[in-house]
Amino acid sequence: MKRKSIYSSTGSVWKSMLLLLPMLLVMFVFLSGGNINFSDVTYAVSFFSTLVFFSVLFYLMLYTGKTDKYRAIGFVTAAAFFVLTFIVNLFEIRGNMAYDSETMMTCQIPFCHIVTTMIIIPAAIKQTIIFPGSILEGFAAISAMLVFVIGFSIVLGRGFCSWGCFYGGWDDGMSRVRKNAWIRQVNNSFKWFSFAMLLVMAIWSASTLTPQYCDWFCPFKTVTEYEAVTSVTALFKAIIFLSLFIGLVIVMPILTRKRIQCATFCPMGALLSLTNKLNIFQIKTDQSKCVNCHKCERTCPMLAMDASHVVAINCSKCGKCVDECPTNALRFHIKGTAVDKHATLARTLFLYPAYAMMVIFLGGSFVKGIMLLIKLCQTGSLL
Amino acid sequence: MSNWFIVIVMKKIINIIAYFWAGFSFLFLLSVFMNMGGYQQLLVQLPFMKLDPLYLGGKVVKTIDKSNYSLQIHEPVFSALIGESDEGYVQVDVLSDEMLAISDTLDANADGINDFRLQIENKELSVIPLVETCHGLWMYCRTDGKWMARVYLDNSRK
Repeated sequence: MKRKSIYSSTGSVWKSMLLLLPMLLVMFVFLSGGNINFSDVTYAVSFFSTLVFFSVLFYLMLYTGKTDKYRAIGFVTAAAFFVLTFIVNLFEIRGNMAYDSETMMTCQIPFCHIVTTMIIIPAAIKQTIIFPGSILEGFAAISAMLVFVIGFSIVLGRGFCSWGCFYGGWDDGMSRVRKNAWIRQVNNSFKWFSFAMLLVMAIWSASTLTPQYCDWFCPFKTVTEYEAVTSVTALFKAIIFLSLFIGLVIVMPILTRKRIQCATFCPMGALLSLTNKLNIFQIKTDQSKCVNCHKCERTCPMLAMDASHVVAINCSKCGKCVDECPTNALRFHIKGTAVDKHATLARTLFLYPAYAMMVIFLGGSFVKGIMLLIKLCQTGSLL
Repeated sequence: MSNWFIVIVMKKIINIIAYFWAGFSFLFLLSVFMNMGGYQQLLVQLPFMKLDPLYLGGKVVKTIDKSNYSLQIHEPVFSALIGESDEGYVQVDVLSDEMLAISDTLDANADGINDFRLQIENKELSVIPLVETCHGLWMYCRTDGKWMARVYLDNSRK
């Protein structure tokens, strides 16, 4: 039986268009970055393709009342484009994906948001940052990434994992490859492993003054940058990175339809889960409408839904459970308000910052990615 | 009656604050992107926003000028979360626009004893330890007209 939507914009072209307009303006301004000179045809085509792509997805979110389906299309595609542009950028700068001693000694390694988890204790005790990156200048400077992390934490909490994280898009995409899971039961308690990872990595990194997760365990080194393999240790690390990427980002998500790397392994996810407590947005169950079908529990890719249908601290607000719930018991909710009222307002107020974050943070890579694909078609080379 | 009224009013106030906060989140997010430079400048003023010497290489404490190149010896780095570590490294820079062949003995920790011999030959840099407290080359590179080398060293103060 088809459920009735609780959102007033659902099925209404005009209401959906009206709600799209502010987002369209924001997307145009931020994607263009003030550069409205479209004389370069490749840039113009890439820019407007990106604008149309994200506008259509947002419109469909509003018109259909479905969040996760359209979020995932944008999120996964943007994450793929991010990795493509990042790798091409590395090849243009260094000629390969490996960083060498020069990059280390001149402190030019781009700061990734996951490193935040490992710099907290030394920053508090020793008042220094333990990372060979640039504080203020250059690509992915430490200060810029920290501003992003603090800003995103305040605005969305762990929502960043489903709306902004370029790594999360890979896990999300892989968890959707198969229509049905081969491994149907994944114990929700595995989610606590990421908190253990956070604790261990934070302490280990502080005691050695080296970001150990990046050094040994980050699966995404495989698709971004890694230590040049010039020693047995570096080779061993490369094997670990590749194994974790294949296991946690490709194989397990395909088999389980869960975001295994994000839900059970990522220390940044665990840290952002804690910021969920400070965040105004949440997904909440209206227990009076719940019929105990457990669909949300089976559906949740982050292992955030327990048997009593209480949304756990590690919810990334992807909206999958909200879309799947047959009785509309699960809703986007603003803390401090009644769960059964103003469903459209609560969802819309959440969608604006969440979607804007995705487009502004990942949209630039999207535009560059399309430009690269056009270049590939024209010249046969990405470089 | 008055309690009931207060509860209703409080709920209304909390509702208004919550919706206002939710709406403000969107504006705050936009401000993060629009005023990124300003927020960065605010952040870098915080006392912890500086790189650890472990990554920077320590301050230059001694410069030795030779005929066609000069050597910069940095302060040995024994960085630890609390206090100093037993082992660390010292960074030595060889400033020269040309690819020279050099061989110099250096006293890196200023204890009056030469710790290692630094050699550059055939565009390769190598280190020969001269004392037990020196454990050889950690890493090196050539960039911007200079060689940079980091040499493992024990902490003589411990």
